[in-house]
Amino acid sequence: MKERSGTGATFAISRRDLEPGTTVVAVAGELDLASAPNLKWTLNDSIAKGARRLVLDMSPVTFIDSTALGVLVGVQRNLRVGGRLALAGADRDPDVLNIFELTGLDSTFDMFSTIDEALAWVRGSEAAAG
Amino acid sequence: MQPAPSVSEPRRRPPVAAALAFAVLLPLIFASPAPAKHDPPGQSAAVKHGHAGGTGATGTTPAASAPYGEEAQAQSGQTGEASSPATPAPASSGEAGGQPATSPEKGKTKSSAAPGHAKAKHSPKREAAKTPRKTPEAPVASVAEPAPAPVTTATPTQTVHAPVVAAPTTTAAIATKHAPARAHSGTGTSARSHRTVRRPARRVASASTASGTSGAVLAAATSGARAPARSSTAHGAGPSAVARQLASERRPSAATSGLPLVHSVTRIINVVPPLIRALIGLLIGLALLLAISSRITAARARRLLRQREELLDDVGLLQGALLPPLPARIGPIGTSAAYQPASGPGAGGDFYDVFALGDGRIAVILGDVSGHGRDALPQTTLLRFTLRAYIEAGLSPRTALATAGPVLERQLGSSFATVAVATYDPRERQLVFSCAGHPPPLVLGSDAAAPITSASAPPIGVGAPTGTRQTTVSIPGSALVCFYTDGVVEARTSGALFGSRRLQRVLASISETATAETLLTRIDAEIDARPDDMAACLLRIEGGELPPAVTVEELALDMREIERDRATRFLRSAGVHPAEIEQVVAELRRQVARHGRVVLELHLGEGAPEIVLSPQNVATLQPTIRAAAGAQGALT
Repeated sequence: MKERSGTGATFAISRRDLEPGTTVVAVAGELDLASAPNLKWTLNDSIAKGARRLVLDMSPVTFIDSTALGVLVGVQRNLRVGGRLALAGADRDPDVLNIFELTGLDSTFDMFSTIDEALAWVRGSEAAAG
Repeated sequence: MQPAPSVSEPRRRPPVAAALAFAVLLPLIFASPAPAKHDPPGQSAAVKHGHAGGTGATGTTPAASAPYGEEAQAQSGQTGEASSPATPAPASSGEAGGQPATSPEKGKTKSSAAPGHAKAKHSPKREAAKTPRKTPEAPVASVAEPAPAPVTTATPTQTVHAPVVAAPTTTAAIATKHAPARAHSGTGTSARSHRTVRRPARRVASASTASGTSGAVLAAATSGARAPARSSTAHGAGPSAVARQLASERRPSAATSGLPLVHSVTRIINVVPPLIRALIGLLIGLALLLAISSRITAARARRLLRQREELLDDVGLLQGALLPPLPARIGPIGTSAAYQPASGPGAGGDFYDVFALGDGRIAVILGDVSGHGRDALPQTTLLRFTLRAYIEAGLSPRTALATAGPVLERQLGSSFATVAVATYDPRERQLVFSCAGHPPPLVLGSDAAAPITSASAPPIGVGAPTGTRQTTVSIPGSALVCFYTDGVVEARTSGALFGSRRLQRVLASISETATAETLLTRIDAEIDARPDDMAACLLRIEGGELPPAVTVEELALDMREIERDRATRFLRSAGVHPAEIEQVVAELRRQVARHGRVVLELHLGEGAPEIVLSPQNVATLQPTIRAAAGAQGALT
């Protein structure tokens, strides 16, 4: 477990729609109890607006707690039929990667080092599905 | 001089007396319908005295208990005279002031009141000096002076009542107030009685002063004195009733003047404008209402309190389903568990269980269901008892999780759960634990290396197979094993995460007898915010003589997990040489292709880790139990 300062004071989220059905959501800072609701709303709103290929860019993320992990689990579940969620850059911060490993969620999420790899995979999934 | 008070007092004092009466009545009213008891004596006494002396002050002593009689008499002698010369004692003093020679009888009858006499001589003067100033009617009232004549005739009555007279002034006031009130309204409502008392009093005063026949009026009053108060007032018999009223009105004033404090209060209130007095009356009424409503509220509060206790009992039962009380020891193991709910919105969801297994082992289950709050309650209980059942059926922790995973996933809905399941065998001194998305327990005092956390098993309910990892550690010496939920390590201390390293420090610093409750209390003192529930469970294992044995790490793998390099990372974490990792992974692929699921065992001890591959099928329950039986055989 990580011991890091900050109580969610640093958190930023942005959404970028690429072609229809493909959305990249970028988050920065700490994903914790405070920022989890925002993350959840943004991701679920993207899905509600038709996004089936979601990439979450986590490269600037410095911490993720169990609540935020729960949000990601829920989003992945929502996309299970006909959609895909890819996590990009979650291995950038060793502490973040450690949390994914400790919780065993590295085995359930599709994690990529870069956004391009992640995008290639989610687009490929569409091809595979189609 | 004498009449002045007699006329003016009715006006001034009724409100005062009423105020005092209500102040005293309020508690009485609420305590019991007591006033009723006081009424009759108050009335009769008041009336009789009114006739007798014109000042009912003494007569007031309705409830006037005999013991007080003498003392009261003395007092009334002093004060009663001061306010109204017509009282028994006052009557004489009145004589002292105005007609000293009136009746020697009085002197006799009041032998006991003699001291009162002496004082009375002074007090009337004082009063007289004051009252005329306040009351412009004083001169008119002097018409009433003829009164003494009837008064004197009435003296026998006085003497009769003299002992009863000077009751404690307050009760006297109440009685008099109340008596007229009843006479008029008959309702006994204090607020109303207050009003009814006052109005007639004024009428009396004006009548007597205006007519200038107050003497006659008084005489009538005295003559009517014999008649029972109630009947006369009930008839509303003209002047006599009025006079009686007047008398009874005055009495309280004299009575109230019985105590210096009350006397001075009376004098203060006397200068209060009528409007304010009315306001005071209103306030008293209001106080009455409030008192009634507070009584009702109190009754309601008592009912709610009862309901709350019942609810707490129910909550206790529900909580017991999730957080059962633990014995201090199970076999040779000291056990304790504790739980602290979140300070924020994320309350609920944590659960634990510690229980003995038939073969001498003990089992620990501790976890956390997402989707906190009461909604998590059904899932939480389901999880706890399902896992317990599998463990009691003889499955190893990993197999129990692997078997329960798919079953529970269907029940968890949108929730998921992290959980740690463990068994400890005191004979083998081996702790076996398996986690699903949950931090592994901290083991203090064991030489065993920290468990491998790469390739951990995922939580239950995230759509992936769990129960894939298990760790067996030997505990040769005394040790403290701590299971905890992520709420503990995710708590914040001065902006930073509490973390597992701090938890380890706190664990090392608590005493040998400390329980999980102590631990959480210590942690709670160090953190600023508790965003999630905290649950902890401690196993205290005493020292033994067994030499340290190997630690075994198990990882169950299918092809998908091999593709995800989980075997590679797992072996790398254990310090296996990269060349050997390649060989092992190649062999794993062959076996997984043949058997479906393969368990990779790492026996860590001194020297290079020993690697064992064995096929394991947890696809159905039947083979799982056989596999579990094999695992148990190896352990026990």
